[in-house]
Amino acid sequence: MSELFKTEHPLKIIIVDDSEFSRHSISSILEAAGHDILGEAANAEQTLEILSSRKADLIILDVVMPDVTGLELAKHINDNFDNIYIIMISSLAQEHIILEAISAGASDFIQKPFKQSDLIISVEKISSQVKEDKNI
Amino acid sequence: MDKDRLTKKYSSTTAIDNFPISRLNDFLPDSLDLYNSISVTRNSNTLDTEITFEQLETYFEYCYSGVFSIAGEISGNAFVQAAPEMYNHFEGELDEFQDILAEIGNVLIGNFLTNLEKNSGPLGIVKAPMVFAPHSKSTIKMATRKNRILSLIGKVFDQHKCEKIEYTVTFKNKKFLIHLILLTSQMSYQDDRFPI
Repeated sequence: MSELFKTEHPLKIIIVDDSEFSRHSISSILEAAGHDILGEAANAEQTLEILSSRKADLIILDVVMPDVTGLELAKHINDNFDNIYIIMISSLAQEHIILEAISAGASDFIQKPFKQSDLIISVEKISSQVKEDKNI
Repeated sequence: MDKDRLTKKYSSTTAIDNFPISRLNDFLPDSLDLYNSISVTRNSNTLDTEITFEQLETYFEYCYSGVFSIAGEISGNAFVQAAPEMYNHFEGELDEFQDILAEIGNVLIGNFLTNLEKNSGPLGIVKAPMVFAPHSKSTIKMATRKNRILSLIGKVFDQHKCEKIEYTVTFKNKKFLIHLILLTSQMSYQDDRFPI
């Protein structure tokens, strides 16, 4: 999938990563693909602040973050918000972490560093699922 | 602290050689590409196994660290250190420098640990890596942590196997050197060294 790929079903997305460089890079990739970036958050508190006023379809969530980890935040979101998909990202892709991510409610897990196409394909799967959810 | 002992040159000998995982460098990534913005390339397969405490303390100013253990037998600490030249490139933009170094360290060490686990079985303790930078917003806290690590490492320096691997970071058409340093030792000797 090339950098020129444009989605037919844009999602409202929040990027959560304590690395500003990583957040901006991911935002750029997804914006170029036609998605709507609702906001970027460096931690759980900022994420919940965005969610208090905006309705997101998808959260791209880093696993390793200070204070509240991505796994803890994913579980909190899964328990307290409806219809928000989560894609977890991390450089640590040990089996137990992937299993914990799925258990916490993640729909997909992508290891860093990832290619743009890997991210876009993963997000497209969610996009199709969101479209299906809305049709139902 | 016995400065003579801490500054002596360490020659790796037996500690980790008794374990099946004797070539940790096999699990290090050769190259990484971060979103087409930063490339990280390993310079050679030759490992420097002679590292002085002074090198750890002063040669590079900034480091990034992660702690792990293997099968309850080996404890390890992975550092990524950036050369002062890389820091200078950011011309005082410390937050940006730290952010980028942290992400490079995060991905480099994370991929190393993931590869290591795939080949050696589940790792024990894996501590979230930390960034140490004396001019950060948490200057005192960071400096304290760094000093503690260096103190603990120095305390048992002659019981560790040290491996230093050089990588080249290419960012905005500039090239910088970083070092990835692995310190490992038998856990049977472990007291209060690890985890941090």
